[in-house]
Amino acid sequence: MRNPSPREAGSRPTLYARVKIAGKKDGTLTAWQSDAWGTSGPQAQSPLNLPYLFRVPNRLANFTAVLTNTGPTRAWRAPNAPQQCYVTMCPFDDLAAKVPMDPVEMYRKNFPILGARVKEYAEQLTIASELMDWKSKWHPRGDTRPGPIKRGVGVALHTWGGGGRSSTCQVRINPDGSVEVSLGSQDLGTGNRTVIGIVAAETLGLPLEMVHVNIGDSRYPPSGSSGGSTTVGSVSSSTRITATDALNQLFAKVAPVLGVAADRLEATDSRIQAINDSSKGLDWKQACAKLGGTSIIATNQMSRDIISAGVGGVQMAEVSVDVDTGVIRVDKMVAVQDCGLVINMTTAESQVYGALIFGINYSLYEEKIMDQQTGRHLNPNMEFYKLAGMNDIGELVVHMMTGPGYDERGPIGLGEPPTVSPGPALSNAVANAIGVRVPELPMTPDRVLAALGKA
Amino acid sequence: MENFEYAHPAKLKDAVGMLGVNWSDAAVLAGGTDLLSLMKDYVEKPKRVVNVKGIGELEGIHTGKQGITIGALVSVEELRTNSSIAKDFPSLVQAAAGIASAQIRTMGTVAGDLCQRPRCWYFRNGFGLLAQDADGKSLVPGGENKYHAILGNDGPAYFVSPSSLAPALIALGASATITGPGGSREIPLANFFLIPGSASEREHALKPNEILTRITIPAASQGLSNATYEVRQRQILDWPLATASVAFRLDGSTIRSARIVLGHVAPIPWSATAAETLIAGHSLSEDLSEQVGEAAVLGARPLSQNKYKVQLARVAVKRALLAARNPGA
Ligand SMILES: Cc1cc2nc3c(=O)[nH]c(=O)nc-3n(C[C@H](O)[C@H](O)[C@H](O)COP(=O)(O)OP(=O)(O)OC[C@H]3O[C@@H](n4cnc5c(N)ncnc54)[C@H](O)[C@@H]3O)c2cc1C
Repeated sequence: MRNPSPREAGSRPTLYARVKIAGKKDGTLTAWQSDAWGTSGPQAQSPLNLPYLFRVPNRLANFTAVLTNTGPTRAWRAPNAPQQCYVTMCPFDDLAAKVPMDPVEMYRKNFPILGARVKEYAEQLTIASELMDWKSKWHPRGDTRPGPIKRGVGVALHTWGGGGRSSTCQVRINPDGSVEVSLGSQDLGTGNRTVIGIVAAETLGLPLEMVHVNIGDSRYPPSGSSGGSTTVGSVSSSTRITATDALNQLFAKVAPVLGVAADRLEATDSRIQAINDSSKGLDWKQACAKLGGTSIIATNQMSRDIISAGVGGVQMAEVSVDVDTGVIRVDKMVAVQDCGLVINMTTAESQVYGALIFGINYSLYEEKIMDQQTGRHLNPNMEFYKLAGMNDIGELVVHMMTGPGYDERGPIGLGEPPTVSPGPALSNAVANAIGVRVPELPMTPDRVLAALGKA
Repeated sequence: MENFEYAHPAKLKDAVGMLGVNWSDAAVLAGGTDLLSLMKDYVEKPKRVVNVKGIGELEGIHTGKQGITIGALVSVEELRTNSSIAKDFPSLVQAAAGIASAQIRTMGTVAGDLCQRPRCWYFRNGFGLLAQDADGKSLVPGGENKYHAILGNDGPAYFVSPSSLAPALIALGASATITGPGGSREIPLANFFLIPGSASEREHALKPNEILTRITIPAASQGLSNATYEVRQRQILDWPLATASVAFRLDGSTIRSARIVLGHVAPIPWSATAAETLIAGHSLSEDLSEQVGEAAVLGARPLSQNKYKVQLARVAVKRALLAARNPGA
């Protein structure tokens, strides 16, 4: 990492808040009051909505935007949501400790005010609890076992939008049977190329290696930028629609040859054949040979009709904290996440693993240190801008929701949602372990010891 | 990085002759894991770089009547895996094991670890070793000081001595051999480290034309109970927040000649003399080690953001003592 990258790239907005939260003895939330402030650097920040997710019947929320000269703000995976989630789910957890009540139970109690995804949360809380062995690990706040190492578990949940942006795709079927799919889209390392290839291959009834995907060049038809977890929705939709158009053109060509109506044909196992009568069919290559000298070139747009927006996720964390040194170790994290139709399980799970690691980093380590006297960024390097190493990460368990209720919604983006909950899940686990709240991220040893009254 | 002249002498004598009378004339290059970063960040701009890696006299770990000598070029990894060191000086192995990563331990040398420059982020950002503004006022007390000194910080120096090996070696009574144009001298390693009083001074006793050639751990140190305990946030590639290295002789269960040296809490490896006095003549218990930890930080004056390091130093001493008593526990 060169110094200019962190120095010039900009920072995520900050969020601080003083929160009062009220509920009934049975755990239902009744009132919320927050005085929040944050900075986006020199530009004014739009007010951040609090609380996150909960529709509390009585609510007073103030937000003050603070202007600083610390450089411009930049979008940070799920802009503002991790901050808002943290400032909401930590006080909620504190209230649960006050009741006292298992926070998983208290989330269930509050389903009526938890927004649109409660059906998912209900299932996800059950699965996450099993994967974490929550019932046997959770204890009232403060691990009372002797010795300096205290263990605890925490939970948080989140939502995110997704959806799609404009995307144009071009699918070319050549007389030699080769297939090219071209979009001016980009792969940030998330598996975008894989996903486009899979959608095209499945639509055309071909193995993945038969489809050549062209992306990463503005000569290809325009497709939206990657942001807001919209990429997969955009490109899977445009690819599906355009590949279907191209296939229909191929059907039209081979229908007379096979003596079957074009709308009675299907593409499967590298063959074009009559639906329900595989004897009337041609191999893909033979079928494409009927194109003569001209390729099929189809170009079309994405449509929001075959994708969705809005996902939910539940995360749990287990930590060990040395109360004499303030050092936190992550033992385990569980993420249960939906994203509509999962196109490829490996790349989907990878997004969530990555998000958990990202979450461990911002919860325990990452901090941009600005010197107030000189305005200098003091740690523009990997040495003091700390990131977790392998041993700091612990066991990560990812569970993707699939099947009825999820698949038929179509693809929904996944880049951002699982980054939202790790902060509060880890902070709540630390509070459960040591008995007090460390009221800031990252939870560095100085802050942990200060919360414990030892520094 | 500025341009520089490069020299690769094969003899110690030639190397010494290639150094200058000012620090800016020339720099010794060993593993380069620190020097290159300093040069890339324009913190060091030597006119000449003298690579000592080809000098055979600076290699090797040797056991003799006088004790163990460790050549300047011995890598941190070689030190960590040496069997005679492992047998007698677990404290040194523990200190070496915590350093950075296998890659850096393999490139980095023992002398380089002892001579590496402080990690103070003001220093590394070009504000000088004493982190002063244009008026000569230190930026540290009113600035970002959570990793800075809690002891020996009366000013003007507030950085912490970065070497993890130094506290362990000092607790074992090690000495340093330094070679310059006029020959060699041997000094206690404890005296090698200095708190600079002005911007023109360095944090160690070397002159610009001297080379640290070897470290000697006296034979008398054999049979000492010894251990190092480090507190660091991450498990790899992280600097300790505080460390303690201890060494003592057990006479039955009675502690004799105890050395307790703290690391990363002061501009030099910090000998906790009050703690050493307190423990001498007693037998070690959990309670006593706690009191000794307390005594070790007596006189600590935390800055605005590093009070927690007092607690860490206290705990490091306690845990190092208990570990020395029960090796392998
Ligand atoms: C991410 C990271 C984490 C680290 N963590 C730790 C840690 O926890 N504890 C720790 O102790 N160290 C740590 N280090 C530092 C590492 O141990 C040193 O960089 C290494 O030991 C330096 O050795 P070198 O041979 O590469 O020195 P070089 O970079 O070659 O030299 C370092 C300095 O010493 C001088 N020098 C070298 N040899 C001699 C000599 N024989 N005589 C006179 N001057 C000499 C050089 O001129 C230069 O100023 C860390 C480093 C990194 C990058």
